[in-house]
Amino acid sequence: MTQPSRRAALGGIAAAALLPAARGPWFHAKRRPVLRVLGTHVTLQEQIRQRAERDLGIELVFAPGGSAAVLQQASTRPESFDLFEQWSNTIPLLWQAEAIRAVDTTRIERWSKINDVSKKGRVVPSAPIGRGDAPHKVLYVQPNGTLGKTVSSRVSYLPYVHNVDSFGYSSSVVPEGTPYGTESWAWMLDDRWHGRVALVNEPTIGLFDAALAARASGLVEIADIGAMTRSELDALFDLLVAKKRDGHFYGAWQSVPQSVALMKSGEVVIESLFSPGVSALRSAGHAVNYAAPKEGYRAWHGVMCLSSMVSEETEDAAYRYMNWWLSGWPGAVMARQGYYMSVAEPARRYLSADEWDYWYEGQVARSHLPGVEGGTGVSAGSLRRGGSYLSRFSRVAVWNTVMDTYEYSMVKWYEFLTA
Amino acid sequence: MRRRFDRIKVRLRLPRRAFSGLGTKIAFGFAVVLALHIAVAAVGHVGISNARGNLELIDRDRHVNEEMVVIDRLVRELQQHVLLYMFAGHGSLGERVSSLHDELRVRITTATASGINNPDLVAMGAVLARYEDEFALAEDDRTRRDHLLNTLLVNAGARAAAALGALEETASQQRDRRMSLLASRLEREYLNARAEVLEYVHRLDYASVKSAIARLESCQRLLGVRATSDQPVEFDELAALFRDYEKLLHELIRRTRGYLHLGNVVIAGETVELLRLSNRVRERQSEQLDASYASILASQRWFENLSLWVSIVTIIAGLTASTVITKIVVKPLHAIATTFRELAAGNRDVAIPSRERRDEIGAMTRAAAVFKGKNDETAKLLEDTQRSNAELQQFAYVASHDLQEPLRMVASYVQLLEMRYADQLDGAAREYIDFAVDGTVRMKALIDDLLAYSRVGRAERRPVMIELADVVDVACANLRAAIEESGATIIHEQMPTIVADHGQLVQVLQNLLGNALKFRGDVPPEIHVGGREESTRWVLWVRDNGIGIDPDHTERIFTVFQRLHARDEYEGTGIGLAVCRRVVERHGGEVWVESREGFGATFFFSIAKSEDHQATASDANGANPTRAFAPA
Repeated sequence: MTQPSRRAALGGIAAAALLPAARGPWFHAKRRPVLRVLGTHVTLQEQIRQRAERDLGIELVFAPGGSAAVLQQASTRPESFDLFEQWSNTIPLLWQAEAIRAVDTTRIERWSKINDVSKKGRVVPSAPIGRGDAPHKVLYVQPNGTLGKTVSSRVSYLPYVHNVDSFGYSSSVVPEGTPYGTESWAWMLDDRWHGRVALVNEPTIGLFDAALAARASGLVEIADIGAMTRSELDALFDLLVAKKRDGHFYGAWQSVPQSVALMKSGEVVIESLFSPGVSALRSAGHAVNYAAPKEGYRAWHGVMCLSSMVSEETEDAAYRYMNWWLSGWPGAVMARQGYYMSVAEPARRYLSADEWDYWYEGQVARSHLPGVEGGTGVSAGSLRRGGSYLSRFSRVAVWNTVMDTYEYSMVKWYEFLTA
Repeated sequence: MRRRFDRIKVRLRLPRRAFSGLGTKIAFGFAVVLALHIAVAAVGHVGISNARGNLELIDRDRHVNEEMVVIDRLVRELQQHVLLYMFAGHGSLGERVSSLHDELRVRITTATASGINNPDLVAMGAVLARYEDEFALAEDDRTRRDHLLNTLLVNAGARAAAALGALEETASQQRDRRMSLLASRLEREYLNARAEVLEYVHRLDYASVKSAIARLESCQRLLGVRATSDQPVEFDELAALFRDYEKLLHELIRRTRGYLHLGNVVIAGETVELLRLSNRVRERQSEQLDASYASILASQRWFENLSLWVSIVTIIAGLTASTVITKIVVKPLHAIATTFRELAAGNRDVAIPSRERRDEIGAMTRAAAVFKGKNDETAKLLEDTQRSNAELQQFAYVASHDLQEPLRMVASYVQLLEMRYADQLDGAAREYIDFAVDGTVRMKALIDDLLAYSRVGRAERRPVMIELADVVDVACANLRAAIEESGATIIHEQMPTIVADHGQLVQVLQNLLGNALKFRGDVPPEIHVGGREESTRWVLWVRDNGIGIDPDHTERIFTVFQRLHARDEYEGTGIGLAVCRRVVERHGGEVWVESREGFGATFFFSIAKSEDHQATASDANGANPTRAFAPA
């Protein structure tokens, strides 16, 4: 929906004098705008909220929650938020529900700096495009109103945070492998770790970890891992349910703290793991390796979307917030959790050379590197397995995806969970 | 240094002094035994309290275990109902899920509040809270999905079908073949789309609904191409209806995926987590139960052993105390008692034990030694006295007996001289002879009395039951002449029967009555004989109305040959009362007098009762040990 332009309503020299091109100062004559952001704990962190309020002079209301809950709220009640942050696999659903509106790329200052992972699905032209819902497939608003790969000035989301995930393993128990050499998704189904394996409880994520493991083990055949058929799902879940009943899997975790607790306690030695989980385990002194599987990674892309119901005034604040995210400081915060930014260079200004070389260039940490909450997050001498951003994102096997067999996969997932 | 050492020595000595007393030793010994008994009781009490505490813990842990079994069952039932609800969508199933939520929440809260420090229980509460929120979202999606499927899509479909029908009608009326073909094609696409929607609903095959959406979009595209320049209004309306239907379809997909995801993934995950936590709680409670049982057993064994050892120590301490007390108190007391008994029995060779002790027993033994010393002195004095008395008696008997003969010879020959030379003697000679004869008579009387006195001491005492009345009568009979001469009245009370020597008692009464008659005043004597029975003796008295006795002489008159008056005033040798005293003393009694000059005299004497008579009298007299003789 559109709202009458406040600038048009104001008119006059005074109004014009107050309006530089950046749209900043005239807000100070008005009340502080309130921006409501709905999303997950990955990006809705208190230190980011406080810094953004200070830098932007707006009031930010964060509403973090579980993925399912925030998605349901966003898809059914777009009036309850101004900005929505989650993952690219939710874009089709939200777009079809008309819960979000297009983002005008001309209002994104660093749009031209956004890298090709977001725009083209691959970090460099020679890199493969991962299977499934690669972010560029649902980025551009097509002339017919659908979403597609053809470039336009209107996009369904602002690309920003993204990363590749794999599995973590306790290097004190599981013999250390070589990145992209011996480390393999097949380890997750290795009988040596019987009873001490965990998956993430999310079919759009954990299912692909399991599928990658099953395919790497040669136990199932999957033509397109990003679009598994029902029969392929049947075969995969037959295997998983049998393994579960046999006691191979300890269980499925539902939160990053839970994944950390499982490995820290020793109950699990190999599991689906997110980057913050790896950092938390290392900070606690646990010897954990984040594998660089030879089969490639499972990737995900964060999205920041405008609500379809956002007002013009709030929309201005929203664009300022989106631009702020690409300005550098938030990118540095995300980098210290192991995440990458679609526009990385501004973040470099807020990272030390040691930090940049460790997080983005994949080099050995030359000194102790700070963590997100302060303290030491990375010890000197540590190495981020998988190498640089370029190296890691050149090996995307599959993206987090909502397949056409999504509904069916959830029914099968239930069988696996309760087996 | 030396002074410090001396001070230490003094300090060390003090406890010995503090324990020198017998009472202190006994008190200390009993205090130790009492303390040990208290220790046994305390150990027992602590053991029982400990066991009670452990039992309460076990009870609590067992109760929590039982609760966890119930919670397990409820969680599984909850998940079953969630699944059923996801499948069927019935409101009653949703209500059952809510009630199961509530029951679980109460039970988990109760178990958490039971005092068990189990973080898994707390985590279960947090998981259940999320569970409730997530089910509410799933319920919202499921309800909306049903509404979409059963109402909104049906209504939208009906409207679209009606519009299609109207288009066909228009085409038929207008005989517009192209419109008719379009309407047919639209209807075909629309019906296939509806079938694919149903297929999606039943098989959850997104490909079906994707195809349906494609058909609807195709229909909209078809309706966007005007067949003729004057395209009927129905085209736009139908296109809008298809667009609305498609929009509802998208929401159907969204809601279906929503509740499927929440029910099959999120909530199922929470269920698995609840069961895992519940299992851990039960395992931990089982471990705690086992530990509690082991602790109880160990604690019980420990307390048993402690109680046993303390009891043994107490018994040993008690036996030791008993032995020590026997050794240091009982035996010495027994020995001292034996010593005193022996000493009381007159055994002078008895040993005095434990004289070196510094406590009460030592004091008693030293007193026993003094007693023995006194005993020895007394015995020696008694021996000396007895020997002296025997010698005196012997002397008195021999002297009186041997003196009789020469005295008789003197008297006889003086009388012979008077008879033979009567005509040659002048008056002075005859007077001298009278004096000599009188002297011999008096000396004989003295000797007789002395002999009688000595006989009292030598005569064997033969106490028998005697009637005091008879004794009085015999004494009165012996004094008939003096009674008649003095005109005396002798009155006696009803006299009891006593145990005494008859002859000696007659002698006593005869002497007392004789004195009463002799030392009479101006009026005829009135003599009363009476008495009373006491618990240990009889007390008899002879009361007269004679001249009385100066109280200063009431003791002297009982001495041998003591006279208060001149021979020419009252006859007698002055041995009568001494004889009375001797007889009475031999009967275990005493004699005394109460008198004032001019007011008569009352002579008292007591006769001791034998032990049998004392008991008999006590039984007879009951609470009144003293009883006067009844008047005659």
